Amino acid sequence: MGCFPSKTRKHTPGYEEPTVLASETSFTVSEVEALFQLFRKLSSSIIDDGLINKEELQLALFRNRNKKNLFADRIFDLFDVKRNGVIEFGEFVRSLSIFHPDAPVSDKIEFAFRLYDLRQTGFIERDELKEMVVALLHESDLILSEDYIELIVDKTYTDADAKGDGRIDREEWKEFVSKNPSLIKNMTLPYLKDITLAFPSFVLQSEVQDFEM
Amino acid sequence: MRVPWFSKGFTRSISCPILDDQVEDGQEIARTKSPPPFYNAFEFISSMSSGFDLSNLFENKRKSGSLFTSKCSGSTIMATLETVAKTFNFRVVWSKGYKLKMEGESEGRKGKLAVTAEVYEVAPEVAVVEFSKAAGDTLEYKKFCEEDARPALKDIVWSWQGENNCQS
Repeated sequence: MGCFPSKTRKHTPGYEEPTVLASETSFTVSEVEALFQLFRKLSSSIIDDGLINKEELQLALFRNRNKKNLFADRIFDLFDVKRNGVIEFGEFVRSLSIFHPDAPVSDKIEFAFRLYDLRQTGFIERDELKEMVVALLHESDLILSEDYIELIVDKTYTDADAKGDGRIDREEWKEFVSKNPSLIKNMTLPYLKDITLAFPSFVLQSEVQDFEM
Repeated sequence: MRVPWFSKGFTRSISCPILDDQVEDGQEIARTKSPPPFYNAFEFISSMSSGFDLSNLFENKRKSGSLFTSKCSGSTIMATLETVAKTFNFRVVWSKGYKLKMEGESEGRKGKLAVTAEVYEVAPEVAVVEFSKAAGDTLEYKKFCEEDARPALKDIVWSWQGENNCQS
């Protein structure tokens, strides 16, 4: 299939065929092709290299390439599965798959846990939660007294740390989410169901175009 | 004793501009007995943070927030919401505790627009108000939030979700 023999197509590292990605994620082949259009747009916004770097993600999320943000950093680190400092197309699709409305809830719960586990210790520690609250206030340009920040963290921790051992493990997190399902609402992007409308992909076009470096 | 608030680079009043005792509300007595439900830190982070909001990857213009923080008491917020509803000819369908539903008088493109608002408490004197569309056309809902509700609520709003995120 396609007009060109595959050996003349050069793809950037991390590119995976839509058929492969569709078979291993919640997306259909046309959805993956539509994601490719989005990926091309994001990955060429600062450096046209077919890879999304940190600044390009910041640009996409905040319309400001220099905006440093703890939460965007976490997203970047989790999407950059190979930890090579860039988000490749395959990584992009596989990570976004978790945000699909049809993706298993257990995957979403796990991803959220890893997002909040800032230092990847396998636990969400109290100081990590506090760091995130402080980062959120900073992002929103708000200042709260230290006492109030402690109060928010304490009260949340009391609810979530069922075993009372000073840290939230995966089991406690799952339990907490089952009691508060809205905690993972940011783990579902309804847009992903209509992605082919937002980014119409023409099968012939995407196969014909070389992604040149 | 109130803890002083201040916001970087802005001069905002120290406390809620609407004095709580000026508010007359039938539910006032019921509400002062218990505060709004607790909005935990994870809820707060996942709702307010733009960094975790990947829908920004798909939208071309900045999303209008449907969530804001407030320094006012839950009762004041509820009373203000009810006033806003009346101002824009919305009927308050029901109002219970810290949740209310309002319905527009006229038929829109997809029937009458209905909006729910819920007040939560992050910490004493830090409330979060979440709007959601209960019925009607999404564009009309967004228009209501941005053009009608937002300016009308400015006295009680501390910060809207997604705001201030374009500054480096």
